[in-house]
Amino acid sequence: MVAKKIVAIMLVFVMGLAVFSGCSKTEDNHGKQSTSGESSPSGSDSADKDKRPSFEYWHPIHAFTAKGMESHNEHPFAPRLAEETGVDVKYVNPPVGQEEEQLNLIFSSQNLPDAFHSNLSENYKGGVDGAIADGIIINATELIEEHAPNYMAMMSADEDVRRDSYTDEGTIKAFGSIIPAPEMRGLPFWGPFLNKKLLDKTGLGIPETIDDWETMLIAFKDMGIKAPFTWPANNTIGFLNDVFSGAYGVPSESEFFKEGNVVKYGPIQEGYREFLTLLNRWYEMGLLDADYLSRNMNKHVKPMLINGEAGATVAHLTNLEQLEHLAKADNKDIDLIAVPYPVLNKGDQIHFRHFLSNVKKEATFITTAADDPVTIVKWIDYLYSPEGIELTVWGDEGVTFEYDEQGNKKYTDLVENNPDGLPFSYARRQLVIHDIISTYAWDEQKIFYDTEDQHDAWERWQKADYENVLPESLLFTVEEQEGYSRIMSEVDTYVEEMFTKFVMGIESLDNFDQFVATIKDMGIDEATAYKQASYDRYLDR
Amino acid sequence: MEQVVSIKRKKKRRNIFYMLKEDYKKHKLIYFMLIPVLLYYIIFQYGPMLGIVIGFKDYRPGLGIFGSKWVGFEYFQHFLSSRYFWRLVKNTLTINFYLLLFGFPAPIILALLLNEVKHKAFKKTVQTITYMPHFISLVVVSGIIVDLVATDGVINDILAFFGFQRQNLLTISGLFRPIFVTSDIWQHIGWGTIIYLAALSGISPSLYEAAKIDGANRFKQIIHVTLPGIAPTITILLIMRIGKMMLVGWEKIILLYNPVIYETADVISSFVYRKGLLEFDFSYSTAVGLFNSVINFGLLIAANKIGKKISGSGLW
Repeated sequence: MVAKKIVAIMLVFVMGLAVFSGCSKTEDNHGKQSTSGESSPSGSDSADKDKRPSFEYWHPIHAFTAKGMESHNEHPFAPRLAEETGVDVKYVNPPVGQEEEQLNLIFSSQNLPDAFHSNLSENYKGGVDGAIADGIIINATELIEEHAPNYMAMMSADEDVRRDSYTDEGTIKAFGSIIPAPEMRGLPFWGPFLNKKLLDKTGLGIPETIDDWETMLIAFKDMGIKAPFTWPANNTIGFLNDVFSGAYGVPSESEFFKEGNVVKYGPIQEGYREFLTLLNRWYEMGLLDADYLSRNMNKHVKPMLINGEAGATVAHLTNLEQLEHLAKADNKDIDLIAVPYPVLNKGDQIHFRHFLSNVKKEATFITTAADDPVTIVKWIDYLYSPEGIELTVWGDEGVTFEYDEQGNKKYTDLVENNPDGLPFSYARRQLVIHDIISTYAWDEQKIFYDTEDQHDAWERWQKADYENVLPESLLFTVEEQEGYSRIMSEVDTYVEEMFTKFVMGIESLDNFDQFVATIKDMGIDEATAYKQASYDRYLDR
Repeated sequence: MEQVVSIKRKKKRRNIFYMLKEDYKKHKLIYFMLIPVLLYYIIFQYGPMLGIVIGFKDYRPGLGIFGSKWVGFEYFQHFLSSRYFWRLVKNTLTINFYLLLFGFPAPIILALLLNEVKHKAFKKTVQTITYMPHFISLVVVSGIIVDLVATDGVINDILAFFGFQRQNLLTISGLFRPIFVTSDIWQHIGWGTIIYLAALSGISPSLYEAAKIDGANRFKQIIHVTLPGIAPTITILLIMRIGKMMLVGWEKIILLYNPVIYETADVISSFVYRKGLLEFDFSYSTAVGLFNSVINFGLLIAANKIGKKISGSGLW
């Protein structure tokens, strides 16, 4: 009886403890007193280490990097970086895939790290200026202008980059996120491509116009290909990246664009009706994948291309190489080539295409919890110095990179043909501290997109320009933001719904005028005015 | 007279206190074991409820719950005047109505059928097979459903055999509810029978014997003995089900729906998910969720009252 009692009491305690430890553990994960940083190996003795300034840096870890280590603190280059800069960085890495949730938890728990790296304009209501007003981040503009010579030099070198880097209020909005190489500015990474083996069988040339495309897709269909054209729509209207719609002078999604300095909304334009008519006709003719709506790149589109069930798609540049790699392993015979963004009439110029903006949205922000913001500014500025770029992009000469006969940098076999069997893309991140760079080094990108097909893709896609695409860095005031999102969250849902219905023929295109009227009714003119105002301010920056 | 009342009151008060004390003396350990349960409810169930206050505030994570500005019923007004308000309410109620109409009786019928099976091994096998799907993750279940109804899926193979045109069934708005409800029944029917089978085993065999002597056949036995025997269980489960009339699990909806069938598939919970987690509009999302819960609360109370009136048994 007594023994039974003791067991029961112990059980109660254990259960009680479990409840408490459950809470405290989650606290610890984002707590400032996180101990994860202390385990970082350091070459120097402890007395020296105490003197070094340090800060806590919240930074997402890339999935490829995470395969080899728990956090950046374990990265072989973390101590090297500390030595070079004289600053100890304690990295805090959120679990892969939960970055946004974790960041929001940090904001609401008020347990801020000293600095964090994220896309604040999209992940925080009110963006950068809002976060400053709410006391989450400091306005580091003056500090950066004073203490970050490398960064400022890069930013001021190009008028567009400078404009994109400031908010309407004159605050530096994104510290650490520039494409410095002029060769890379405006480079397209998404675009149309197709299986050349199939194209050769039809005897047709590379399609340039919409009509060429139609002829080709019909030929594919006649050859018995199940889905002549498919794309990873993922249950949205996304991922066409303005292919086809650009020919009609409109963006492919629920988006605003500009003509001259006038802002317009895409789906209510006449061109959008023609774009929808085209997709609808192709859908009825069986030229589009019947299940395109639920298609996912990795799960469906890739296997379909490899098995010859699909002829053409819109995808990312890396897919070109990956797919051929996969096909080879499967003994399937495909040869993918990128083709230009289609035009309506030969000689037309397209003003819509995918491009990389000069200033990335993800950047480093210094929080109000930082004791020594200057150290952080200087540390990040180091990443922009020639030595910093070499260290973070290439690593050590002789170990991870070497010079070839022409004097170009090149990864060593340790990275490229890893003796432990790591694939290149994994090795590149696990052996060189690649995740924390905010600059793109053109030499390195050239190596990463190395195949002839990929270089052809750039050349062909670049024939289109992106003159009518609005810059990404437009900003709203708080009132504008509220009105805009109230209108647009309903409009987006409506357009998404109707787009698919029009394409699938569930809704007749005769109702397009009705569709436009409904969108107007929802207040699109007001939203357009907000966009226009923010674009005007952008031009004035 | 006054004295009597005061004595009564005193006695009553003492009674509860006295009873608790006596009970505590007798079952000390059980009261100790209650502590973690209470803590669980306070920390994880009641504590977070304070968070609903952000439905009335313009919540900004940087300012915290208490620092954010009060906006009163603004978000509720937004939602009520939203173009999609009626569609969301209608879809939520319709799906739940179907679940109630077809999903609720399904396990009862299965339990009654199983109860009639005398072959033990067969009964166990059926039970195991039917409640297996309950343990499959929703993501997997939804994946299976998507594959089944795809243009080249099994269901279309069968339809094509009978001369129908192949079509992705999840792009036909009229079919979403049947697909949702059927798959829900398939997944939970076996699990639902457990409680009814337990109730059935509590019916005294003497009742059946008496019925047999009175000349009741097996069907009559079910009507007059079995069903009344499990009626209280059915009522309680029904009341609890009605208390959830405005709730549909968002996970399965967002895994299955697409823009073409928003018209029938978009429900309040999926809307809350899109608003709160995809657009970071926490306040709006909370307001909609709270609105939903309040209606559920009202429904639960009403159902309990009606249940008590009709069958005499209720939750409280």
